[in-house]
Amino acid sequence: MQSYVDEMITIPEGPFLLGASYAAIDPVLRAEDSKRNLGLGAVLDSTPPIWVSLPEYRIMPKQVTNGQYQTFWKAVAPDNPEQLLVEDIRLWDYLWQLYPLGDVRVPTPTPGKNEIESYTTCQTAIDALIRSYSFECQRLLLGHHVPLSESGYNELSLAVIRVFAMLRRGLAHVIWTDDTTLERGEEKALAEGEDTPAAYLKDLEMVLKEAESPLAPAVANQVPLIVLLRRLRFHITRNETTVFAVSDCFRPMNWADDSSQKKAAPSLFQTKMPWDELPVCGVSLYEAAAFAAWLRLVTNEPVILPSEAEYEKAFGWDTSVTNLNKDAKHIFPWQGHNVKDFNFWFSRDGSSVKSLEARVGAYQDLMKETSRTVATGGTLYQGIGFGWQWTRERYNELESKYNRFEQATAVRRSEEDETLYDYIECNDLNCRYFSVRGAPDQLGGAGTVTRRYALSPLRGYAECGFRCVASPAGAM
Amino acid sequence: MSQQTVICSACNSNMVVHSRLNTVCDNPDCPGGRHFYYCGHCRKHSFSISKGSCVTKTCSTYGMLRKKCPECRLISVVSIDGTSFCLNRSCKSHADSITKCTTCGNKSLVQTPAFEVCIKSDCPTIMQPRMKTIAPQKPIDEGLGLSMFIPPAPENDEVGLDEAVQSELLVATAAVDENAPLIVGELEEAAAAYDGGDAPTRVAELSTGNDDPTRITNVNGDVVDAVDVEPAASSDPWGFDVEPTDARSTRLIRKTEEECEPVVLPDADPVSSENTLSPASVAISASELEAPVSSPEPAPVIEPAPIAPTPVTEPEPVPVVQSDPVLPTEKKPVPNLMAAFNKTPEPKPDSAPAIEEEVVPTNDFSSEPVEAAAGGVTRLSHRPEDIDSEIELAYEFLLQSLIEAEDGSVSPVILVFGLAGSGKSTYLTMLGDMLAKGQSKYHFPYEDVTTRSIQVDSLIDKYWGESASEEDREILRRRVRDLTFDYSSRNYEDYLMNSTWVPATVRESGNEAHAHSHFLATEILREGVTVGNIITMETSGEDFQELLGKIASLRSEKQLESALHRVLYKLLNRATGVLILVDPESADSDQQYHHIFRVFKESIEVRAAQALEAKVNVFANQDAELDAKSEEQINIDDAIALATSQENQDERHKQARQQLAEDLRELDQALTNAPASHAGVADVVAKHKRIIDELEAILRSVKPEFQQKADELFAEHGRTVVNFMQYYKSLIASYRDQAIFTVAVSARLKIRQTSRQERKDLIARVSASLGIKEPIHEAFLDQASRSDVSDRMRFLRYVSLVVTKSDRHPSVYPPEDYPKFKLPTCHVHIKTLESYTQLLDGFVNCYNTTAIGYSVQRGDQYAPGPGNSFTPVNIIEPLFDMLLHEERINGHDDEYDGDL
Repeated sequence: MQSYVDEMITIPEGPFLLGASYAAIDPVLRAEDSKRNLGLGAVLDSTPPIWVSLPEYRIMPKQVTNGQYQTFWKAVAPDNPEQLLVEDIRLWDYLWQLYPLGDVRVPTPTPGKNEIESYTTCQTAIDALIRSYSFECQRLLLGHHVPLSESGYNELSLAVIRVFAMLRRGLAHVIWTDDTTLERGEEKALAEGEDTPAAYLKDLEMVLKEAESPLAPAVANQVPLIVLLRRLRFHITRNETTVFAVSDCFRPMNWADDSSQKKAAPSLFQTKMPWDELPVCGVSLYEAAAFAAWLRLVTNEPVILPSEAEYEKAFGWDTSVTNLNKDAKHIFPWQGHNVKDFNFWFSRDGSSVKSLEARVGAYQDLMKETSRTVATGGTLYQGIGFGWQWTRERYNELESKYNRFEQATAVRRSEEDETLYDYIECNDLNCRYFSVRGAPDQLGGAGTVTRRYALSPLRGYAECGFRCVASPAGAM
Repeated sequence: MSQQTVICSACNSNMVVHSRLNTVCDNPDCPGGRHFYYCGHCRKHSFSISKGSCVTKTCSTYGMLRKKCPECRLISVVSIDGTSFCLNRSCKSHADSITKCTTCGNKSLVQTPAFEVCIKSDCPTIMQPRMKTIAPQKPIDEGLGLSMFIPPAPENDEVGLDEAVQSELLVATAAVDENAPLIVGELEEAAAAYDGGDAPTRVAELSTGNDDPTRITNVNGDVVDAVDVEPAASSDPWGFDVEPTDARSTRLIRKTEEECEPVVLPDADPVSSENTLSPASVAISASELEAPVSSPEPAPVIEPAPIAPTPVTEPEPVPVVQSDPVLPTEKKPVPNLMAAFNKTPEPKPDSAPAIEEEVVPTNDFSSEPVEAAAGGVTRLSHRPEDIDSEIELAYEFLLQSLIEAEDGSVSPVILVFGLAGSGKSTYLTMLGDMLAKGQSKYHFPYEDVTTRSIQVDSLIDKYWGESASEEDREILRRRVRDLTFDYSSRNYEDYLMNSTWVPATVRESGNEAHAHSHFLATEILREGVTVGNIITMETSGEDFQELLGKIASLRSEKQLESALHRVLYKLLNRATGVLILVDPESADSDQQYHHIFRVFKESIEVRAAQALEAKVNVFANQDAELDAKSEEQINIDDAIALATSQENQDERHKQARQQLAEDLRELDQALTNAPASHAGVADVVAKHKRIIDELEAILRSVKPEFQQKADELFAEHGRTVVNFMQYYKSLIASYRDQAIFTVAVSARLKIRQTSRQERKDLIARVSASLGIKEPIHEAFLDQASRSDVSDRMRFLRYVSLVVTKSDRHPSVYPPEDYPKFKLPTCHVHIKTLESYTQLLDGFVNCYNTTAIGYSVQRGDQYAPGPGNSFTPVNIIEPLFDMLLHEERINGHDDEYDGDL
């Protein structure tokens, strides 16, 4: 595990240009943009250039792989070799304290109508994850949320409440340090039916059937809620118990089980990219942050998820430049060694990176071509095009074009006739989304190192992985 | 003769009909003045002699003052919005300008400069002006008899009429065609009966003017209106042997036929008199060429052409309504002119009530609205009566108000075409939001471009009058919506900001209260001045799909049963640019769309060939000049060989001269006859684009100062229709110069005598200069002489393939490869279509588009993320690239010039 940190690439402290203006990008790219209608201007518009300074930090050269994440998933608690770390409530409690959520407004298909997902009473990150799925299931099958004090008003709503109450109770060891304290409505729902695995299985089947019925099987396989319910069904059927482990429910979305790689179909010519070398994806922010917390725990290094600026500086700034030189800013990681547009490397012929996973040589070539050599030493891979990457920053839906730096509280100074800011991380607790960087290969317009997006921290997305940094922020 | 009693239309009292010319109301205080004639239109005894108009409220001429026609001498001249015309279908004044009415089928459709109107009494559209569809009229200054612009008589005319009939008349019954208006002679007769001889004289004065010595009589001794232009002392600002006049001092005097000097084009064949165009065949009167309508001084505005039927008193100038506009043929051949026009238009004064002069209606967007001439007259618009369908009514309204606006601007119609599920609604929503919010929110690299909302009620007031029915208003409010601030704003807030997609447009069944199919329009401004209106249509993809299925065999919109389909087809035919939205999810896009690409291709084929020929001519002409220079140094043997060769080619020279002369004549005639309607004039120029291109190209090389001067004058006097007309007339006149004419003939011969290889080389040079990738076979040049120029897609020059949902589906890079990989059947046509549009100085572009940049999985679906994470890519570009190409708008420097 120490090697994970040792391999990190050092990014020296100093100023860099956050964001970029279309006018300042490489003329070759602009010419290509005009010729090919690439939309670079549109992509860059929301992130205007701001000079910010960052302290030194280190960043993982690649995204966290399945193999690395599996190591974490199998890791035991530091003070209890009998217990997996992911089954330790302290981990999820720590993460919830690190990234808490309050009331989250959720849009509905009805114009102007919102529902509120309240996480204010959640105990841990696992609790929030369960509650999030419960809310989604209620909206999907019932059309609205059921008050926490209610057990439901018909068979289906009762089944929904019972299933998730059963799950909370089954994962009580990662939710409550003391006694299990279900919501009143949950208790009523559990009391209204038999408290046996068979009865819960029946409820679960009903809920699952309702959720699956409108969907094609291929689509249903990709829906996180259905994946979770199927895992629960599998566990109850196999073990005839409603006591769960975190690994039963919340392992990465595309993992069939804890050792998915062993079930991968063998390749005739052994040219497939090894499963454990591919980036892990389908993990929520909390699950990603859990990996960082584990790494911090075992290495005693300030490991944490990167901020947006840390990500962007690593992949878009010539670290050999220490002054405020706009030319040191790149919008593509590979700009140091080739000036190609994003789509030249990704999705150029309608195929995705996924298709390259079957050809190890092609995949590695792509990684190499799109890599970034850091002037101070080391090479960074998978900067863009290999999926979004979680950051530790929240995404402010009200912000426009980095106007956070226009606030009076922004720390700024004048340097080389420019205004240089101390980077401001967005940690507003009212924000329901977290920022992601990096861009998947399937994207409207070009993926650039400046491009941002927002995802719910409570879901694992097929196109979202992560990497970690060792940063002063992690020491806090 | 027995007397008949009828009810007075003015006061409902009894009237005694003595004759058709003598009906007297019993009521001494009759508001109609007691004495009436028989009205040939409503066929009642209700033409009030004292009022000079019919008092029957249901009469189509109710309340319209009728005057004597100086040509046919009937009391049959009425005026609508300042444009006067004779109601007598047999009147010589519109002998060449009366056509068959499409409604009643009679030859009763009078063409005026501003509109056409049926005057048949039993036609349902009688006296209802409509947009012009044909161009038969003669110009006011033609000097070959009365033009159709019959001026209102001066005030003393009315007085005379009143006086003439101020008391009882004793008129003998006369046999009058019941449809015919009153005949002057009858009026004289009536007046004579009234006052024993005085009246006829006075009536005669009314009818012939006073005894001003400048009066001109026709061959019958009748005084006719003077309509020729007497040039005021002014220099020719155009300098093309044309004598423009200062219209402010212009007096309209009719030239006699003898005074009209026919313009003889240059000796088409100095060797043979056969090649000298006869005056008859040339048919360009001196007055046409030498009497421009507008004044170059002091302002380049439409000049009222004062018409003085009775020159005793200086008449108030009566504006010539809607001078004929002329299309610039295409962007490239007139680059200097376009550059001159491209200056920032000056803001219109808000209070300017007058209509601006009609600016060149273009089949591109090159024109801009220009300032109104003070005292101009608004062209009459009207609600079409024979339209039942709401959507067709809305289309006609848009046609009148925005597409071919009164302010002279011609708006590009850019149709967004997409099958069901292609994302039209989301695309249009984001497009509107980008137009509304511009740089404040999005990447919007267009200088000073903003939008203004469309106020339907204001447009109705302006074009159909404040008295437009509430029912019509309701229809139009439903069917015409503002793109940016209404449609888009609502959808954006209700759906996209709510992390849901804009729902698909529902297909109309005809019974719903809510209009699902409607037009979307927005006004584009640059530096606060309107540069055009973007008009497109929102309707269900199924409607587009059905039209696609029929389009291959469609020849006219009349073949379509659905009004919506008809309108879609009309829009398509009227479109300058078409955005075709392609859903990458759809497996049958290729199958669905290949028909339309084929139709596009075939529709513009001849135009493209003509454009190619014109461009080839330019190169050939350049070669000819080089050859001429080298000939100065040839030796005697070469000279003998050359002479022999020329001898053999004499016949072809002769034919070429004749053909060029004929082409010039046709062009001039067409310009002369060009109607004031946008479409009509656009047709004329489009049809003669090839010759215009050729003439301009040659003149640019042999007389570059022509263009230079034109630039200066356009810059100084504006891009007025009149100036355009004058420019083209001058262009033609330039070919009276023997040297220039000869160069043109030589250039043509150069083309026709070139070997196949030479033609190939010339075409290759054209292709290279335009960046055309597809090879063009030399035989394609032969298409240029085809006479079956399609009316379909006659404005089409831009096609953009917009591949939507690129955030969720693998994009093809570069995007221009999309047809090759994903639309193989279409690709065959698109390749050719691209070449054709390039020849027409347009393009076929491909875009990978996303409305929001990235969509996120939410449950079982992918949905928009937070509003401020939207990164719309290539939403506005497909539209604005067309405008940029036309130089209607400017891009930011940092966008295109490559400077840092």
